[in-house]
Amino acid sequence: MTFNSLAFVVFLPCVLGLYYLLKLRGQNHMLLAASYLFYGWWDMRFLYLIAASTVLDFLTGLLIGRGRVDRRGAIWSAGWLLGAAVVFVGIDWSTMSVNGALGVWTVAGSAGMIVVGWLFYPRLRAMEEQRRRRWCLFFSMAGNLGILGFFKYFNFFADSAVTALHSVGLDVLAPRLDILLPVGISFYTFQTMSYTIDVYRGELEPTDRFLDFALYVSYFPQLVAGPIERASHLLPRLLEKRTLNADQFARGCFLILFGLFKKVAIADGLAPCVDAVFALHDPTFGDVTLGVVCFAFQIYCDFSGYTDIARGCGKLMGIDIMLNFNLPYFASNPREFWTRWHISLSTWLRDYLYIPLGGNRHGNWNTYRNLMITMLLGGLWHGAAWNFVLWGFFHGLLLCVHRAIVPRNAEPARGVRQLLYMAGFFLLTCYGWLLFRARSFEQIVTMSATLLRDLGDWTISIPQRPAFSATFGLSLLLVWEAQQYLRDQQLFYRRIPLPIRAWYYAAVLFFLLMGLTNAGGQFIYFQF
Amino acid sequence: MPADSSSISSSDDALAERPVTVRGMALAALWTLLWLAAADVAVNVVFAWPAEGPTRAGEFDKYFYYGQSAEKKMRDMLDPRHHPFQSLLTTGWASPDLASHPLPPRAESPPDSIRVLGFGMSFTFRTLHALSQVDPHAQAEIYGGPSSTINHSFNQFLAHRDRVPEADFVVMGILAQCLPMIHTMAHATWNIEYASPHTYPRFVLDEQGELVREDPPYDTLAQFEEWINEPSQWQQVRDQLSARDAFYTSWAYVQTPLDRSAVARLIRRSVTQRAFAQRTQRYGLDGEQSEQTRRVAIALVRWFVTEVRADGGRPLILLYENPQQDGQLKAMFAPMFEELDVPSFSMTEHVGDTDPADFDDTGHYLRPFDLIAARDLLTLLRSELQSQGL
Repeated sequence: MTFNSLAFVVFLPCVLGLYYLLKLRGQNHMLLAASYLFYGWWDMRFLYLIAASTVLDFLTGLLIGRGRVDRRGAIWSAGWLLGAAVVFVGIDWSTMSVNGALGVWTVAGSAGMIVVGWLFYPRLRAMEEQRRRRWCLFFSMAGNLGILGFFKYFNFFADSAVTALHSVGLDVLAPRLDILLPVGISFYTFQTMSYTIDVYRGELEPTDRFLDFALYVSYFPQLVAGPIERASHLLPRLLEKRTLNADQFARGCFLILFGLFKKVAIADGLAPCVDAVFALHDPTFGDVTLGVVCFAFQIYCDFSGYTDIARGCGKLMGIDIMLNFNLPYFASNPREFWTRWHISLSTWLRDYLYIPLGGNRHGNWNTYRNLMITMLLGGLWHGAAWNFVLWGFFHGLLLCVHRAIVPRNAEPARGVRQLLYMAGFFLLTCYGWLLFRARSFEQIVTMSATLLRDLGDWTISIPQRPAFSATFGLSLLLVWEAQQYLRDQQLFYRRIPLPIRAWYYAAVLFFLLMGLTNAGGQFIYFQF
Repeated sequence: MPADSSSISSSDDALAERPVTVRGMALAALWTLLWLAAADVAVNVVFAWPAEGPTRAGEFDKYFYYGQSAEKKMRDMLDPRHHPFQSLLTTGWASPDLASHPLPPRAESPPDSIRVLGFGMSFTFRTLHALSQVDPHAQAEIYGGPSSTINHSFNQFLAHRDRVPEADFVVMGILAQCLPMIHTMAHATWNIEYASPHTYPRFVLDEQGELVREDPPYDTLAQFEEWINEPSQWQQVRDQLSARDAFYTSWAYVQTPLDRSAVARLIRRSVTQRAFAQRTQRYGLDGEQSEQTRRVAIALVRWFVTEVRADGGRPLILLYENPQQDGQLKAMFAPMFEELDVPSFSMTEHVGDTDPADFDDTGHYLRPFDLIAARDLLTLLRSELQSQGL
């Protein structure tokens, strides 16, 4: 189910209606069921992966933090895993029969894992504490990264290995898996991993409330495209009684409206133009520039639109979800950009990868190495393709160069100089998006060569143009964000007199209605 | 500008200086609705549909007009001030006098000329018209309508089959994009943006697999002009379309007071587009009703081929695939073409369909590609004639 689908228009009011009627425990149980329904709308079988990830991190969290799992937690975990295997994979509900070999193997495998866990549990408990904690952390990382690696990266690494072997004259056949990429797998695996790591570091107490933890893993507003919530932020909000007031409700409604406006009016209105440019065999300088700039706004509005809707849904339930985008195109250097773009991922990478690698603690060269490793893996996180790695490399390079040439205590640029830096860095960001969006390495080379060779040839060879909703919507958005930036406040608009503020709401609504005629697509970040 | 913008809080709750109250929300909603109503009026005034008709309409006028109901658009066409609409009003009918470039009598044509009688949509028109530009001795007489479906083209053929003896080849163009609309009987039920009032029969398969013809509620321009202003008669038209046309929705078709609202028109347009997209998917070659579409399409083309041959003509099928669908249309018809030994010509095999720069803003191939296709088509036509010793 996507936020811009008719199904969600029915789903959300039903969930909210029930939510407001229930008390805390009931709310959480209902939200868990709703979250599984929301995710299972695409493909019910992949719910098993979420259930498995939930069970794995619930158990390892308890074993790391408390050294034991109580009977209740063990029964819930085993029941959840086996139940998920039977219900989501074992049975073919369309024919009410066993779902072939996949179903049998999944159920048998789950039962096997439960038996193995039961057999190993006494040995784990008997281990010296630090050793047990390390083993449990290893199990969690191996399990989560194993799921991610198998479903997302297996074919990529297999194909890359075969290509490398071909290049040295070895002719081998690539083993290929004919599997779908589970929606949002990178988001929820990173989210559950952060829980276990935080427990391991002693920064978080593990929870023994299985269903609440399962809700933390699968909470539907941010399940498939983030933000990647830390357990230390989201879990307490799920465990405590929530209060909802008119202010949160109003903010929630506005965020949903604004998110839909960004996605439907702008991102979907720019998409045909971008798709056409990246399908061109021989683009001009004008084509590439148009396509890349349009894509910069498409991906921003698509992804931040999703986050806005997620945050809006959260607010309607009294649950605060973190800010994921903070005016990223107003950044004037790469360091600032990564404090503004996909904040939940960049802080995740900083806390769980860059700092453990050593961060900036061991001299310049080690810092550059750590930055490059972090950004390369950050690029690979986005997708199993070399262009994402290249995109990560590009941003890593920008960060290193910026670090090398700008002193840490340098005064930030002001006025016209800052504007120039912003514009210049926006162009660099756009080139990064070319690497990100390109369909092949050859296309990157062709388009880059066109940008250098045909500089100034503004001929546009595609008939597609941005939709009216996108052109006007983007203007409105830029004015809005400029105000947010200049006043340094997300909620600046509350100071504006109501009639003028309402004019803006009406304009957003009107452009959203115009945008409804754009062919709606999935959110770009679903594929990650 | 702030000294260090990254200092902006990652949680904006702390910045909520003026908490919203229920009263404040109600007032904001009221003001928003007022502004929306004002925008509605402003759009209707500033982007009003010009009295002189579409030739004077600007981009925005057209944009906000598209969401009108099909009936409203068809009624506008009858307005004498909207003379330029006449082309949409008169197109597509199975009338004998609407030929584009009628073939001259055989005696007046050069002996080596190639004479083509064509049925189809704009793509067919463009390809066949390009024949004469590639070879001045090639001539084409074409009947069709906008986005002509197979049943529409077949009906055109039935109406103009007396012209078959005049032609060397009788060509039917099939556009993959319009294949699902084989289950319609009126252009205005599925093409809301450029609704044209013409109708055509729908063909369905009975239990024995035989094609059964279902006639539309009206089939002449005169009947249409008479009935649309006759409420009880027009209600029967709606009822019949509702019962027999798979794409009919009263939401998109029936004129209501909401036609006056710009906001309602935007909503209608988007809802209609989505509803049509769903139906197109359902009746398309990958949809749940694909088998029905395939069987009717193949049976109709088979019938066309048989009838053309019965009239002494040589049939040929022009195929226009959906972009990047790997010859789905050709694959569907291939066994039948082979069985009946019918020549076919797939546009995408000759000019490709993967580069957006090859198309104009109406979605048609650019002129040079039509000429390339026409040149290759002429080669095929000549080789067909040679193989028959002509």
